[in-house]
Amino acid sequence: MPISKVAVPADVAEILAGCRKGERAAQHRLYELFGQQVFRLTVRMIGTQDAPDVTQQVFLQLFRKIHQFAGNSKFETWLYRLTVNEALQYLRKRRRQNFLPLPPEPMTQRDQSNERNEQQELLELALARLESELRTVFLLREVEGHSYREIASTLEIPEGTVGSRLNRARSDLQQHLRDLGWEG
Amino acid sequence: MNCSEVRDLLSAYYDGELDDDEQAQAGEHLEGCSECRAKLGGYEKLSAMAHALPALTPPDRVWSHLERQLDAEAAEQTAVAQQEKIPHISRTFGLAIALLVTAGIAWIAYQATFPTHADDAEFVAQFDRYLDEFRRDPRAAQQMLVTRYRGQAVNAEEASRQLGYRPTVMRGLPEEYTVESTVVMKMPCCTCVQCVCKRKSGGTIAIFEHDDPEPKWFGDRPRITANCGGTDCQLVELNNEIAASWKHGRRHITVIGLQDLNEVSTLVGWFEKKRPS
Repeated sequence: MPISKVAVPADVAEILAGCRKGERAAQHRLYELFGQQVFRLTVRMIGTQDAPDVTQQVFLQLFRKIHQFAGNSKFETWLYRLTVNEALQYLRKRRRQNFLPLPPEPMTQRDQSNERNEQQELLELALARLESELRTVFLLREVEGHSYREIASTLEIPEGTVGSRLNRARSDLQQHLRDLGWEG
Repeated sequence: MNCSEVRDLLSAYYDGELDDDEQAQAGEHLEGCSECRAKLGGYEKLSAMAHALPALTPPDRVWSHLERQLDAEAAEQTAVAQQEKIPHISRTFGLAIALLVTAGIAWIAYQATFPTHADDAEFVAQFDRYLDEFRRDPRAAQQMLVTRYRGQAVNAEEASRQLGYRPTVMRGLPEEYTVESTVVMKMPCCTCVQCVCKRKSGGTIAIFEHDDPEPKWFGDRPRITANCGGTDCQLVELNNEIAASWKHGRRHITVIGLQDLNEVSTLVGWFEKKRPS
């Protein structure tokens, strides 16, 4: 049975066609459209310090592999898969080099010492303590707002596994937050 | 459904991913179970915290570095494509090409001595790519540079023969370092020698000894001049590492991958002591 193609919005399809020809304007436009999403996920997966480098690497891979995007999934799903793989590869490399799991610095600037900022910092620290595969699934659901089907497609895992990983992610995250003094 | 069954499905229930029947059964259990409801309340709080995380924007340098890398790759592809065309052209226009090559030798020699703007741009992009890769994977970065600039592994005698001088970087290093590889490379600026060294405490540095100063190596990255170990050095910050370059007699030394100013001063002091008078 042939795999059905997923419709790509016309403007994105046009940009992708330009990228396939190596047109710099199209590449820039694609970066403008999706750079923030890639950067946001990368920062929260690997920390602020190396997120710019990894974001850059994701787009480099994207432009090199753009011919491989066959339209069997949404473009965003393909892009998120590239991003997650690049971030996980980075984390594996960092573990091999005996670095800490994640830099412990908070990603939020503490310009106001209000409760909201404290909660953001706590969540960022707790996320950094979470296993990388649990962190990934939590971020895709709660920050990127993806459905279980989209997450399953991005991570190439069964939909049932998405639910069980989210159970563990949420449970572990609450425990890490309590360890950090969260009283919520 | 009992507590255990509901807990297994709690995320899917919370996210509305169960089918109608399961959703209803789990909902029924939750109405009568305060412990499971408390667990669900915890999920809601996590969602609220996650949704309040600030928006993040990538720094401008991500695109500018990416663009340089894309330029370098495009230049490489063009060069390869041109090389592939040569055999076909030479069969057709062999004599004419031979004449052109002969007439062009002087011009090529001139170009080799004074690189063009296109060469400069390509080199800056190439070196930028090397610097980015060096921090992530020094071996991959090294391989890229060696391939691009025809690096040849050398011992001290061979290096002296190719360069016309005995490089200071081959006169030994502080105990903290062990040499992994030494190569001579024909870069557009000059033929230089480069040592890749491992620190005993972890990490890699690359040391270049070269004829000309390195104004192009670091592109438009900001740099400062500082006195390190008694010598004026140009310092460039590279993603929390330091690159240092200084005049070393008639030549220059550039080191990439330094951790802090103490390490810069130690190496500058070491090499300047080793410099032949």
